[in-house]
Amino acid sequence: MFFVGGILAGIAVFGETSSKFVHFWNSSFLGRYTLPDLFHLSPGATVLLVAVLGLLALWGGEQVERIARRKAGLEPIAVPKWIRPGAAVFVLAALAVMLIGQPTAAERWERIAAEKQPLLDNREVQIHPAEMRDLYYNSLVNLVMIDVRDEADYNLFHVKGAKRVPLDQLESIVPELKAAPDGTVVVLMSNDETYATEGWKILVAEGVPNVYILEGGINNFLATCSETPFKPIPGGDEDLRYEITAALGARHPNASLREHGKEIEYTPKVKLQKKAPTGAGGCG
Amino acid sequence: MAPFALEAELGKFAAYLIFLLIGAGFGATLEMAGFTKSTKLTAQFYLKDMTVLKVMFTAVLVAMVLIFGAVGLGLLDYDRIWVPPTYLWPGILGGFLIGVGFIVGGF
Repeated sequence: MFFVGGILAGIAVFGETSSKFVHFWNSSFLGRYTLPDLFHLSPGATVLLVAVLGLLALWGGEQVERIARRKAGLEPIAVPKWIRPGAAVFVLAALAVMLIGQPTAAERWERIAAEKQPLLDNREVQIHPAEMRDLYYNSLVNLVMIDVRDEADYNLFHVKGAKRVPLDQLESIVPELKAAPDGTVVVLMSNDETYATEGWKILVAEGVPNVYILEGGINNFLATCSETPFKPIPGGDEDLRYEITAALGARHPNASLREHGKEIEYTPKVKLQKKAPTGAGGCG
Repeated sequence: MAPFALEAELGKFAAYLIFLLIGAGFGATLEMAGFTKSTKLTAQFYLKDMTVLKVMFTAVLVAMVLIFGAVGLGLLDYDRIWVPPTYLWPGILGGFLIGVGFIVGGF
């Protein structure tokens, strides 16, 4: 009776007051936050550290229990004989986990390549520049544009709002991308698609959801969406094939994703993991 | 590679049967360890019987080594394991409340 009364009272109090502490509830949201993130250690080193600390805590708990029982005049609880060898095996196992290490992004990609490579081959993740523009103006979508090119090209010209993260630093922003709210779409871009595709593999292997590639890269963006195109120049794959003589950055009008730009038809490809309608319309 | 999509691979009935068996096994283990006795739970707070701490802590540590070992050997995809999002201060307050509840309930 006492317990049932407590449960009902708790439900009633919580139900009536939960809206009052919603800010407190969300105040310290950290997302998928684990001990390796806290300690800034590799998962393997964290496993070994926690294993050793955990065994010490268990040993300490046993000592405390023994003292408390002695004071209360109780017999100590018998400790099984295999406990020490068991603890040694456990530490060795934790050490083995550290030595084996965790798979790198490249190894993870190898494991999921059979499943994900068809998305690249069937061009299901290469989105038209106009679709990226529509995502930018879609209030239900949090668009994250990542430019993986080198600093020189980025300084010459980049899409307004795109953040430069070189390929070798992509893994460092994975926690941030994973903690992003539902409805976040990540679009990777380079001058063409080669480097962006490499970046796509890294992020997909790391388990970042809703990652796409800007179709044809910056060159295609300039070709399709510019109101006043730059002068084309010849160049190879992943070269910026437009003549830009000064470091314009995102200051040129062509860098803006204009809401009422020229109308361009495209096939929408973004399928959000969480259902959210995508917009429709023209191009920047 | 684990985790397996049991419902998709075996069908609902078989998957739910497996879930039921795991749940029953978990419950039976707790029952055998004496976790259903409120006096055992309360004794933890008087430091006279640390079984709860030992069992819980051992389970956490063993699971940690097995999970990261399986990930390292390529048997498990860590990104597809559900990790509850951290709400730091509400979590601490909630843990405190449940601890108080255990002590009060033990009386």
